[in-house]
Amino acid sequence: MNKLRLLLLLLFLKLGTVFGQQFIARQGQVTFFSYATVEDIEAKNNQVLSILDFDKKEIAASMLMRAFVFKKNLMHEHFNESYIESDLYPKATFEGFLLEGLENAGPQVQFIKGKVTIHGITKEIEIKTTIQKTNDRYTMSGEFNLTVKDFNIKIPPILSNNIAKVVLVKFNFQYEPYENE
Amino acid sequence: MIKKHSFFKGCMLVFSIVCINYFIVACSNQNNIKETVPKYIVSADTILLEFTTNEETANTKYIHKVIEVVGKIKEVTSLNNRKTIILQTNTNSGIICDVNDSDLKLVNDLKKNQLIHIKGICKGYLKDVILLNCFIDITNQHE
Repeated sequence: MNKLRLLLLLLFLKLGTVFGQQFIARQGQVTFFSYATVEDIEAKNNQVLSILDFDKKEIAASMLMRAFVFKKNLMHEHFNESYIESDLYPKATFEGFLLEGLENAGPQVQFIKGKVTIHGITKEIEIKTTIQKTNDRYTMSGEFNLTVKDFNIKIPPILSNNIAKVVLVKFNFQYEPYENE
Repeated sequence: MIKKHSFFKGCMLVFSIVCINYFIVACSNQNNIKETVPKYIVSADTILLEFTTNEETANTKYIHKVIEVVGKIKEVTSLNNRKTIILQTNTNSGIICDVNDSDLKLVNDLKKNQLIHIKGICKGYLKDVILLNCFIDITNQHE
């Protein structure tokens, strides 16, 4: 009986460390794609920060707009100076929650509802994501679309054929247990 | 007719020069960092403290600038097909340094806790200070 209690206690503690804990991704990847008639533009940010709390079903992400890497320097310059205005709005953020609790087994599709803030404008958004657990780490990936106009980003008419009206955003985060000090 | 022809040739020449110049500038931009004298040389702890104390002031001071950070290696990661060196500080935040493609070979010889100098462009702070286009300064490694 005592052994059983001990076992239950150990199991409880183990579950406690898995579920009562936050997870962090410091090098999450966010890529956006703009497919337009004149040119395709792709930019990657490999240093996106995200924190995941399974207890509260909460998720938050933050990224530096200047850390997006483009194939051409000129694209980087236009993006930061003319469109996103990184000096005024250096970060894009997301705050949301998982609509369902997480099961322990295998890859699973989840929906996240939350608010994304880009260029000082906040929009509600629902994102479909795949979450997978390997050992004590979680991988979360997915994609969604954003409409450029929604975020008060002004594209001069002369360049309207160079930049897509709707931009595809892909993300991939690898979370590890977060030891808060 | 001949005049018109040479005018066209002249235009082409100017256009070519502009293009080549643009191309050279665009290409050399990255390698310039390696040759550039850093605007600031700071320890990992100092720069993190500056960002956590007053992010705005630190942003004005460091963002877009080529800087050199001195610190001990916490870990080297290969996430997202990139080589990233994370420098440790006395908190659980660090300095994330995304290594320039031309310096990837050097990364393999690095060891945990090794003291190194890394030069790169500061992009700002989230929970860690972020540096892109980083070069490892070997000459300074054993200070």
